Amino acid sequence: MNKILETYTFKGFGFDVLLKNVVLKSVHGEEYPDINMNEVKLSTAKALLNSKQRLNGYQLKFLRTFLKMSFDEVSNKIHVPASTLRSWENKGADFTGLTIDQEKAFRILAINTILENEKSQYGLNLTLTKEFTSPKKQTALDLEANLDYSFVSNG
Amino acid sequence: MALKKRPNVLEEVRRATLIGRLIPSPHAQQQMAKRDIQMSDIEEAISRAKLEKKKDSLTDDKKEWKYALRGKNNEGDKDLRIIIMFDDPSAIIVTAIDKNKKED
Repeated sequence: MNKILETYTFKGFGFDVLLKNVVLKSVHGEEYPDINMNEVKLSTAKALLNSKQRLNGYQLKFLRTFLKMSFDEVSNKIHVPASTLRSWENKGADFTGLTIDQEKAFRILAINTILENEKSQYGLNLTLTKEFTSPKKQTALDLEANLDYSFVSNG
Repeated sequence: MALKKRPNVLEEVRRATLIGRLIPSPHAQQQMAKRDIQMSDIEEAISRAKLEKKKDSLTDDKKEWKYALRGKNNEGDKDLRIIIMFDDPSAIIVTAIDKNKKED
């Protein structure tokens, strides 16, 4: 039987992410949260980039791999040796050694990459659109539907 | 009658990953935290994984197979055995273990 959890703590990235209104499904004796990992990752990345708290090793690793960037690519963009980035990711739950300027540069790189990806996705959706509908009764925009999986904490 | 196995496990797991439906169970998340394995390690390992058919097993209710995959992450420092079951279109990570590390 399925359960709906008001809050659910996802632990798969190395740090805790709190999700709201998650359905916990049960199948063949195993439970699992019925979530879309692509949406969880995107919301988590945005929440981290919006947070004023310094990044820890797990969070740096999460963002770099989410952006599908190698150590060398990040190194070239923010001018930190790849070996140093690797050692900072290995700090796990401890904060990285990024200076404020380096962390700002990394966050800007991440934000730009996410925006470029979203721009491509919006563009693709628009290109594939064959028509716009004209319903007789217009319904209110439901922002909540796009604002699930809410916030990140360092549990 | 013996329960049939899926013929294209690797392709199905990779497809589930692509659409965001490779999901770790709560038990798997606990084990991953304890073993210092993150989702990115698992996804990287799956991209180059092979099947470990001898490690496949049945679910508790004996109605489905759990499949064992084996692969390394991009850094090559984690050699992961990942146990997966399916609830279409989702692939559920039941557990993951790093074979390079000794268990306590």
